[in-house]
Amino acid sequence: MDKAIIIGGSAGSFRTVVNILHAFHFPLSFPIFLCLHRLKNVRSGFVEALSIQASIPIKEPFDKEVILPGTAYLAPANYHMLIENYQTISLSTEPPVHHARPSIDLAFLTAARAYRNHLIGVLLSGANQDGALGISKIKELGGITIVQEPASCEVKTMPEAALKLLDPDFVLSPEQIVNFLTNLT
Amino acid sequence: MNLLNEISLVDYMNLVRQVREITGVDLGEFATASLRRRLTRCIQLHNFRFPDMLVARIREDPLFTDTFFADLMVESTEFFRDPGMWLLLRETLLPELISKKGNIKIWVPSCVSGDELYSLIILLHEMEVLSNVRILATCPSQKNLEHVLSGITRRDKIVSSNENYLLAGGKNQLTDYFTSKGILYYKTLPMDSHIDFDVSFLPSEKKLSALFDLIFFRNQLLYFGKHLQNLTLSFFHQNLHQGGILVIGHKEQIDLSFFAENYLIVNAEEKIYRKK
Repeated sequence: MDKAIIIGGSAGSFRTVVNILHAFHFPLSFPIFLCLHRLKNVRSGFVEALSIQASIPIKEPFDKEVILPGTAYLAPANYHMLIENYQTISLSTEPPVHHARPSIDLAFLTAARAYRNHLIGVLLSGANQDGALGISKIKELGGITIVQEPASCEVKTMPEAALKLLDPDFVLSPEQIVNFLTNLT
Repeated sequence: MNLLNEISLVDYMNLVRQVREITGVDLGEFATASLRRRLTRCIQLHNFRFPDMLVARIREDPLFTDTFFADLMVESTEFFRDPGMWLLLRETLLPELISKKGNIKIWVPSCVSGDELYSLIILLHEMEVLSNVRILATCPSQKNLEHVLSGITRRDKIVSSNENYLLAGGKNQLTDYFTSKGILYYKTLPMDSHIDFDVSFLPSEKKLSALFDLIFFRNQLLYFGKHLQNLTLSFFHQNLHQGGILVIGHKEQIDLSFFAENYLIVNAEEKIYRKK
């Protein structure tokens, strides 16, 4: 089974995500999942903004969409994005978790179950504690975990909450994260 | 939603089989992953130590079985979700339907929390067309029905939905449609005069006597497996007037070949279809 990358972020993570996507070259051999906190009533513009400098396709999945390698999937506004097995993404309107829908915890937990030690989880800058539990689960199931170095974050609440729960494999600056991920390919 | 200790696949399959044997309801028709999470939640909610204890309660207590079916359903968390869809209903779709037909019939086939139903009532009230409309609201369980009829709503839901309501062309404030008694908030528009209520766990199992002009089924197909999705959509198709409108959830994907043959796309973004 091939690997997958999942990235969670909130306030202050947009620039880093853009840089990561920009650094990947088409075609990629694995999928990327992006779970970023966003406004519930603003649907359009996000994929477009992420796509400007990216050479890989980025899309918001429909419910039960089949996962294709080489594609980046952005969790749509006002739905949870769940990774069901190696094949499909499902969406859910269950209540927000940590006031967030999409919730990074739910995306990470389900991706960890689906990909286990083939998953690379990245938690970026953000203003609440969503994602901390999820990235711990990725580590527990054998995946590689990366938390953005709090000092390099615009808002460090999210990485700090994660660092209280786990000792990740790497604590990196945005530049180091980009280098690490592109060297995987 | 606690996902840390999900029930095993074996437990899941045993539960589905035993619920089918006891109640006749085939939960195997639901989407496996989400149903597994809902069953896990249900076991945690009622503090069962083992999945078998859930089965025992279902076997012994019909009232609990009703609660169990209610617990499996995913409740909506806001009024006027996807305000763009509501604005289209308000400004174009409902005025067109009503001017063409005079009186119309609407079906809300899976009324879990009643939020969609009450949003619709508020909209029709503001459009001053309530007397032109007859609504059938089908709840998946008796417990859901009782909750909807009680009118009780959490305050945070009302407050957080006001933005939706205004984006949907709301003429007042959403709080104007609720009243508080102590710590509880109640809906104030009457729910009985234009609505018929009934109970059916699956919409496709209903016996219907008349066709509808608008069927409103958003974000429930998410939780159905492929076969039940198709069954439900073709049941809606049979019970929709020619020219009638079907609305599903913004991110729900349906068999496009079936839809291309039988429907015109009114709005692709909001998933609004008109029967040919």
